[in-house]
Amino acid sequence: MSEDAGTGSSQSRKVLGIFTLAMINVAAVLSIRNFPSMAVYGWSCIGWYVIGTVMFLIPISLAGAELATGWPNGGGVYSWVKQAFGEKGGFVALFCEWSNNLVWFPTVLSFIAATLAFALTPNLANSPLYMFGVMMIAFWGTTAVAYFGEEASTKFGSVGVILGSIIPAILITLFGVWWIASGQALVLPPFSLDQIVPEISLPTLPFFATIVLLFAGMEMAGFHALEVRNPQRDFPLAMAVSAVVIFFCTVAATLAIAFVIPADKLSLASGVMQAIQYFFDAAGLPELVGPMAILITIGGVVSLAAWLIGPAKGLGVVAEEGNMPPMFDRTNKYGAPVAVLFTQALIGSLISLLYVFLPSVNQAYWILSAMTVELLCIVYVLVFASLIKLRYTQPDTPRPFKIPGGMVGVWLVGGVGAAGVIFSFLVGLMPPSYYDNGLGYVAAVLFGTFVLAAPPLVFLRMKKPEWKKNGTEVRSDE
Amino acid sequence: MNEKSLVAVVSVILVAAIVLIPIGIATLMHQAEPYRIVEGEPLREAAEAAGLQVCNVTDTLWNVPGATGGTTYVLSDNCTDPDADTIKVEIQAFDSEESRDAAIRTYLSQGVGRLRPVGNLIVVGQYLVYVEPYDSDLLTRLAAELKKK
Repeated sequence: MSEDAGTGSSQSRKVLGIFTLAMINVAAVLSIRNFPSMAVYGWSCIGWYVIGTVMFLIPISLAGAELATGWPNGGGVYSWVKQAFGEKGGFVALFCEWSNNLVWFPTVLSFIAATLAFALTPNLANSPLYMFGVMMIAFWGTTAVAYFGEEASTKFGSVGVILGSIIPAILITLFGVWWIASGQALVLPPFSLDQIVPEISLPTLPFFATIVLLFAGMEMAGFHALEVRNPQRDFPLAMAVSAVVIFFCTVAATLAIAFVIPADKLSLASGVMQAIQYFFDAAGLPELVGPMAILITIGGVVSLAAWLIGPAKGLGVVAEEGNMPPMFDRTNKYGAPVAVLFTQALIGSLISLLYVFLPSVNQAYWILSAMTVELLCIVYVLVFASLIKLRYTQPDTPRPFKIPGGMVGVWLVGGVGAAGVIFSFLVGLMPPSYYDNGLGYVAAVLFGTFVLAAPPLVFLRMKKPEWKKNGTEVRSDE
Repeated sequence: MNEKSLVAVVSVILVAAIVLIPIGIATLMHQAEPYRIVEGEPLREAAEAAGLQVCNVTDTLWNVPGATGGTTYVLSDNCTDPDADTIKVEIQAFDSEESRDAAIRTYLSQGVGRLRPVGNLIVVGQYLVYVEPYDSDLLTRLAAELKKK
């Protein structure tokens, strides 16, 4: 890749408005993959979604809106947490968000490849060569889109999220409505209020913890602050639009699946496309399964793109501020952080290679995914803590969007969000029942999490004044 | 080696470490389960050895390539006691290591949000055992017996 050593921040073009910002969040959060897993719970999926909404979606949306309008700097969570807890806190928060991606990439890439195989010939999913080939095309292709900067990746993301996430969700919902309207029997029992109350007990605690973080990714738009035309006005509206789209698409499509497919047919070990196939077969439209597989593949790619680009941009800002060696701060003429993107693609490719070709690794992935939960929790605890702390340390900083209710409102939003995330962190340490070495499991998860979170401490220790690019903090010219 | 090169080397080592160390830990914690033919009905036998009763049995075929059929068991300490804990466990056979491992990948890619999938998979020879919820006393006892297979 040829690049000049420009500064991404100085070259940022204000290309993002409310719609494109909202679509970044929708791409990061709305996923068809969730629907069958949630539909198994029948009417009580509504209760679970409400829990996820109250304990996380609303708090993170409000917190993101206040922080993004108060500090519309490059770097997203890095910038917000840095204001409250200094460079070290901000860098750790951002690095946790970036490094948990590295573990997540192979699973979403494998989802993309397997879903595409379903549209072609499902047996392809058994071929490691096919899987790895498609995974690499998706990964490097998405990285190439990011290389061409904000405008290209935003257009790609906006079109892709409509095609791959919103349209499939609407189609599934419409078929659910048609199912009811045409007098077909619902597989769910008649609705009553008590049925939407989820069963919360010791065995369901891990699921509860998962639900709390179901809407993780709502902060993704914050990484694009430097390219937003009017951050003070656009961020809160984009947060609201994306939260509403995500909530309604998710609940409506999940219920549609729950109406049509009996819970015992929703084998969670089989996959999303199997559920979609059953759904459209039942609706008498089996010919739509292939096109749906292609749309859902597109949805997987834009979700990948949202998570691939956002934290990488954040890391580019960190590097420009001199917190990483200069080799990481290179940007190209489009303002894309090419060095970070390239490093990320190399590491992601290596992990994907191991994931596909080493069977012991794909079985071991359970424990790796436990580490990613813990890393995400660290990010969000720091974001909610920053929200509260900044109201005390920088009360006079203009915040065009302020969480209503004064300090009580901030404590309520930040407190509920942080409590949910801390709960998820603790539950994430619970070993599955079949582990006979529970302490070993906890130690491994904690140590792995530490290793994935700690590199900023090493970089900051090695930091040299000459690492800083242009000698200025990256800040929007609001 | 000048300072610039040293920083570059340290950075690369650091980046490699964040990949290799967590994967190394996970691999050590989760030993590979080779594809081998386990005779009989391993899940029923493990349940009985764990002192669990089989309350219900149904045939199951997962709609994934290479799955050759299996069984869904409802297990309990006491099938006649409506208040007793029960778990639903599915076991599915696969025709090759590739198809079994592809099914594991499919399962892992069904995470809720960005997190782990619901339930859990246990590998026993040519079988995948799907359990949900993954945290219960019954499963602890069952898993201990399954490991002997």
